Amino acid sequence: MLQTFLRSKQSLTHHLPSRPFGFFVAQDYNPDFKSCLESQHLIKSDKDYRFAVVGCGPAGFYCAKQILKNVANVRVDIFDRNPHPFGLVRTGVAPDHPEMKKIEKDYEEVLKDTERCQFYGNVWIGANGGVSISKLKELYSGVILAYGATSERDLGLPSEKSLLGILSSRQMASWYNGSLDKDVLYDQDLALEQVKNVVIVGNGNVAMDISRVLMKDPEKMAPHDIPTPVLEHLRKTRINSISLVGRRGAVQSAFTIKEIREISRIPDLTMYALKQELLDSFTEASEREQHPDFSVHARGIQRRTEFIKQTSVILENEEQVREVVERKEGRKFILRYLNKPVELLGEQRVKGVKFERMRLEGSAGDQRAVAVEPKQVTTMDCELLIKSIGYKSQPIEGITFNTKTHTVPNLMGCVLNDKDEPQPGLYVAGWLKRGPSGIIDATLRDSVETFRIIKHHLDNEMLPEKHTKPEDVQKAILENAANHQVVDYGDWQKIDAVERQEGSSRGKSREKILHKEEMLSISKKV
Amino acid sequence: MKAIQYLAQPRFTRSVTFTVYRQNRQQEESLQVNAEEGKTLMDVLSECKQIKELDEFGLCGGELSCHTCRVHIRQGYAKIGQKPTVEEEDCFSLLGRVDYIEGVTRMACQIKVSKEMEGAVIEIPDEAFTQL
Repeated sequence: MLQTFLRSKQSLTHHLPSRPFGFFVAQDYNPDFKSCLESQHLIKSDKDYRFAVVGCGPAGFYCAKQILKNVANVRVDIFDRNPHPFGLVRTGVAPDHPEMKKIEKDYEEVLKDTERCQFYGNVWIGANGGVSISKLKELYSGVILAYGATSERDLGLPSEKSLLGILSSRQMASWYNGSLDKDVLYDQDLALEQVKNVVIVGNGNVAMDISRVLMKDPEKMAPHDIPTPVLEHLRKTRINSISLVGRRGAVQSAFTIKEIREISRIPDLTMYALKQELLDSFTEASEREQHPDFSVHARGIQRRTEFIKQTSVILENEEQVREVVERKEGRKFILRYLNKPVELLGEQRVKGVKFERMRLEGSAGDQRAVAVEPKQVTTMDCELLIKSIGYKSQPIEGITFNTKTHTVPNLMGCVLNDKDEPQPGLYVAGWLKRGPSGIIDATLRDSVETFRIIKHHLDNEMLPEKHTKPEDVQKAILENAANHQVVDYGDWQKIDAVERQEGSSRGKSREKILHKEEMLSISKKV
Repeated sequence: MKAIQYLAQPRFTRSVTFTVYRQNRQQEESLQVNAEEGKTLMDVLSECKQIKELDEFGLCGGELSCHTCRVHIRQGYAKIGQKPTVEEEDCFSLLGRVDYIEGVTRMACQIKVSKEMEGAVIEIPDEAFTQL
């Protein structure tokens, strides 16, 4: 026993500097813990491999990181349509949650190793003048599709596309994060100065992010990376109320307790809920969903529901809702349940939404919203309607696509063809693979799963060796109509430095550049 | 003056030792980890070179925005100075019943190493490691 202990003590400490009395402190361990750590699963083979990753958000990045860590003779090229990496970490994560951007340090570690990993920014892959998938398959041993979701689910209601003042949660997040996509016309569409009451359909965490950004004191967000023009708009904004409407009941709320607690702590904001909507939420089946025996998550669900019941000011009926909304003082955050939007009101700009009252049917874990009979219709007035019912991925030519789930059919990350056969060499990761939900920890795990199958194919020599050089890749990119200027990691670092410097002079972590042309011209400078 | 300043520098920072093992690998892979007082348990575990493949751990950097730094304190739970705040309990809500054991599980980012923790036994769940 003692011998084992002494032996293990030796092996643990032989590399550390010797100190008097045998004290060792944590700082004796190499702080550069991430570098030089060879994976214990390292694939050492004489073959040369090349991998292409389409999309430099967390999903694509984590796949690249796994490959670089576990395969000896390899180069990984990561493509992104934007001149910047990071994906939704830059354009999705709310500006008041900077801790979720910690992954940016990870990116630096990996992307700076340009011998083995190249970033190709501002490159379009796919139809409409981009590099084709078949070209990528020629150049690379394996192609990983991780381009996420650039669209959203629709409500499917008349006038949805023609009325002003109707935006998706993705568009809102793009706007307040300064995305280069520019698909929000601020003055006509968003026009927050005109907005007093907001209705958000859908109650997930993105809906909570948007609520916070609209209701929080802008000065609290100023030191982070929220763009200055956005801050200026928010400073002039005076939102009176936000109604967050879920189709199902309180037990099925999609937000997490952390988010609702954060909202409840915003100064000068009161949370409300309707008595009957809460009562009708607690069907026998929904109660069961909160019972610890029902599922592993039941305890957390119950805690969240308790919080809603205890923290909300309970309103008796619609008249009381109107009365509260019309009060001049204070801001109102109203949790609505069991309501489904059926009609959009307004001529040029939205002015309200008609909802049909629902009730819950079905067994525990499968509660569905069904319209009550006779019909009960409620109108909620608003000058801004936000659809927060999910992002949606787009297909890419040459790859099968499930048009119901809007994901690429796959088996643990290996793409399936239209006969459901796995295609070694073609892989998918992230939201494109499993659907648009879940944040960074789920994405990391998911990318590891995809890597597992890549590793399986490598171990069984199912992937072709490739010796593609950077010049070959550059040629393939530039011979396509849509691609004119490639941004590499060094170029991105120039852009990054400008953003940080500009931010620093304004007391912010970064001042994002909002126009692609500006980013491209900075990256061209010597 | 310089000599006095040099001599006044602390030579040793107090170190606390506890046992760490990966879930289900207590027999084969228990480590004695030395940690500096005042550091968070999350930082100590992340920075310990002997703990391999601890990749899905502490993703939000200690802000209670994820749930990935959860550990099970198999011995010495009561000696931890910081009791769970309501925000830490919100993180527990994100863990399923299997991951969260009342009176055992804590978020490592909320625990500051103290001399009272000497001899504690800490289990890191399997899920915190990259599984290949």
